[in-house]
Amino acid sequence: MNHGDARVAPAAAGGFAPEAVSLDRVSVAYGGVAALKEVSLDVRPGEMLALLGPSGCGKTSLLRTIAGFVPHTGDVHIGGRRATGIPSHRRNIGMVFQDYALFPHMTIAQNVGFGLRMRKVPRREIDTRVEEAIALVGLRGVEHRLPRQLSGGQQQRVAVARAIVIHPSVLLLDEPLSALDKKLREEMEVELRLLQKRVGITTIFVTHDQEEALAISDRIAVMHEGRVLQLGCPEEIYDAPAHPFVAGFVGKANRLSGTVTDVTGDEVTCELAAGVRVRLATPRAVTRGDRLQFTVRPEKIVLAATGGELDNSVEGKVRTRIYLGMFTELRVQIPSGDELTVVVQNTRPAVIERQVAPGDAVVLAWSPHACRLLE
Amino acid sequence: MSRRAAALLVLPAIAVLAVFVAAMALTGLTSFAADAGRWSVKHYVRLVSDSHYLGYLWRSFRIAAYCTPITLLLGYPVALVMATASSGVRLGLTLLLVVQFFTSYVIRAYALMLVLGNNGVVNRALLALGVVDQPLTLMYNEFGVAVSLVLLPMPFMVFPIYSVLKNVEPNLEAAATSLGADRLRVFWHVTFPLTLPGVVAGVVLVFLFDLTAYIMPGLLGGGYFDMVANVIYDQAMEVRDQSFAAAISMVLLVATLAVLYLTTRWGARYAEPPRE
Amino acid sequence: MKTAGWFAWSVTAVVVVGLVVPLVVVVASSFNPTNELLVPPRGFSLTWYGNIFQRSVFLTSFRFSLLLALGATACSLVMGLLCAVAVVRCRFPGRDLLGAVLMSPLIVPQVVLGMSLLIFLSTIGVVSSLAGLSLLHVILALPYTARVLIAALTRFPVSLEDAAVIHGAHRAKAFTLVTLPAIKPGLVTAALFAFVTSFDNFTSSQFLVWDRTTLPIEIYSYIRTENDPTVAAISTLLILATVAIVVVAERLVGLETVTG
Ligand SMILES: Nc1ncnc2c1ncn2[C@@H]1O[C@H](COP(=O)(O)OP(=O)(O)OP(=O)(O)O)[C@@H](O)[C@H]1O
Ligand SMILES: [Mg+2]
Repeated sequence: MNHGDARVAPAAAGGFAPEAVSLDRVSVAYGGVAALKEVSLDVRPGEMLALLGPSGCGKTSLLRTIAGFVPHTGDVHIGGRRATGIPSHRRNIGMVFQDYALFPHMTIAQNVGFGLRMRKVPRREIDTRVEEAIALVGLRGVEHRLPRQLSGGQQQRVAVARAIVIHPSVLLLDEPLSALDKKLREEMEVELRLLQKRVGITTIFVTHDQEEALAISDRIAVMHEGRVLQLGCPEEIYDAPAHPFVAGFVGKANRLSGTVTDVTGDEVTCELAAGVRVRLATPRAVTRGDRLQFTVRPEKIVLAATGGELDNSVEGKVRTRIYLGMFTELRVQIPSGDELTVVVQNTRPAVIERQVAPGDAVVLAWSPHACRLLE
Repeated sequence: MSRRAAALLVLPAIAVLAVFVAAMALTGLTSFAADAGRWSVKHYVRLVSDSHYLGYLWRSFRIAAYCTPITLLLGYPVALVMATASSGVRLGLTLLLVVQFFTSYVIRAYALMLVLGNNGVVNRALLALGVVDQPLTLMYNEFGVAVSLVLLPMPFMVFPIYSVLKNVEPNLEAAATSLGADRLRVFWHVTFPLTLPGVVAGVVLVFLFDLTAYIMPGLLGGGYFDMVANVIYDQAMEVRDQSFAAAISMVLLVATLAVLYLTTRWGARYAEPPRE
Repeated sequence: MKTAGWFAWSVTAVVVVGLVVPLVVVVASSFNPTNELLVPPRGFSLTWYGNIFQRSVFLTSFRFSLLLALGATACSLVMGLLCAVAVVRCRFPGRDLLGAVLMSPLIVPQVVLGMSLLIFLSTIGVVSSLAGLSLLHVILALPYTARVLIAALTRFPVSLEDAAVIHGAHRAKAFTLVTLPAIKPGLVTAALFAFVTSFDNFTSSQFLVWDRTTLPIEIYSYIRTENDPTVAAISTLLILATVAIVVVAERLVGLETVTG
């Protein structure tokens, strides 16, 4: 995947002038319980930013702060204007709620046209813009139905149409896909991404599903306990987690720690317990005797007949084996006592594949560049 | 929303409720008022020492105590049928009970008078069949009042039980059956215990309805069988002894609160899921 | 659940007979040509219906009861709605207490309530007034409207109103455009409870009426004094009205909110 500048540059093709959002040391507390702690965040114009984090970390609170629904300290700017003090209904924000929040007593057309009616747009214009928005989300023909007469996926698209028809400066999506089943969700992810690129609206969407975040966003902000721990493009978040929590939350990671015994160029040798030696490439200077913590992603480790070309090779014993269809997950205990998770692609049918069974001795190998140093 | 907004929102209702609370407090004070602005408990002393007035209190408790179980025995099966029968039967019973619920007690008591009177349908039927040769006295006595106190509060009994019953997990009964319980034992060991919160609610509502009834003894008792509420009215409006009426009122109010307190304490055991 | 057994069905039949027969008897008696309250009637006549209109007390008290009930319904509906918004949406000290106090008029016996209000009103020097009677009826209806509307608003997802706000509606406008239509069943039920509670009230109202009386009070005293089939005729009309209202309510919003 190419994540050059083109992706984060304003995608202002649709004729809108999308503006960015900026948060400056924003804190939110509910009756003494802090939900957001001094969050600062800049959203670039036209980008799709994912807020990713576990339940209760403050994602919804962040969205609702931008929408103006919660009292907060610190500053929020939308499109360069200070938003603090502007009431929600005049912020020109489009929002898709987790439960869609379609008005049950209005038809689809009335739902989509709601924001335009509130803006006193002329009838004629409302009709054409509603028609366009409904066509944009691919729902022609359901205009006169009620929300409950649509499927979950269709309702979600109506909610998106209702939010974008007002030409908002920002689009906020609160777990818009979480109510859908896995297959529909994956389809909608692609559609949402294409739609967002087409209209070019700055979009912030909340998810606790890391695959979803990696798949459709330009950048990801990983949140934990009311703070943004890391902000970066998907590749950075996955391959260069800056924080142990990010490493653990996004994808799986084997965490190891040891003491530096040797430094040669930009490679160091680190000794784990029981004399196991691991070589890793580090971007920062370390000296002999330092204690290091680092991670290795499971898919970066291979089962090797002989350790050689990959520099690191460690013997181990298979503890458990889980067959997952596309790949097989092994847990291997190495002499240092650490248990490493290893993922093996099932390139050949299971009947032909050499079966590794619990108890077997194996050799694990990985490149020094696969190791990520943690703070 | 802010506290100021909340205060503004509740202000009208608070004003009305303040009058209500003040009125109740004033009645409490009145019950202790003696002549010339002095306080005394003489009205209460009079109440407990005069068997005439104590008799009315006792009578109200006694009637409520036996009418309520009869209403329960009649109402529970109705709720059971409503919860299990076809939607047509359910709708029919619901409509009937809601119409009863929304019809004035004066009219419903009057209707019972036309059934139980000397010239009423029951007596005419009995006479026509030759079961009796002169009309039975079915009203203007305890019997008539009791019949009305059993039948009129029926919706108060059926609705709470029905609303619990329709939410009973059907699998529980299926499970009990699969474990070898017969129909009666499934009912007694599974269904009925699960509906106890509804039963308790219905019993409390009906008991208090019976205890404080005014219209039913007034019409079906016809002045020959007053209950405590009628005595309070007479003392306040005919005898014009407001203090004594207030004292009886306080006793009735305290009795009501005691019933509510005891049943919520007792009922709470069933309203909560068992711990274990 | 398995179907109810023969025992439950038989008891239900008994109860249905016990509840339906009196109403049928009232309707039948109202068409009696003679002064007797007989079933089956000795013929068919509308004399007693005519008599309702001869006796001006019934018409005037009916009109009075109707106005009183409409007023009490409107007031208690507005107060109940405002309280429900505060209780469901706001956090403020004394919220639970308010919830309890709102329901408390329900547990005070009707005679006690009527007499207490009489004592209060005469103490402050306001007796025999429309204000006093209206106050009583609002006190009687408020617990019902508050309870029904609190339940309705609790079930209503706030995100719907937020959606209206974020797409450009002022909070108050969002409430009227989105929230009120969505809790319509609750509003209808609450209004129904309030109206019926006020219109049918006899026991506590009799303490506060003066030369203007309500329909239930007229009917009650007529039964205790004259007792001819005129009351049967009035009752028939009121029963029919009740049936009509209940059927319309069932069509409109269902009866689930009444039966619980
Ligand atoms: N109205 C509220 N009152 C009190 N505490 C709240 C309220 N809303 C949220 N919180 C608390 O604030 C914290 C952040 O909540 P928030 O809803 O922002 O989390 P979230 O990341 O959206 O979680 P989820 O993924 O479960 O939706 C949580 O600890 C939550 O319990
Ligand atoms: Mg959330």
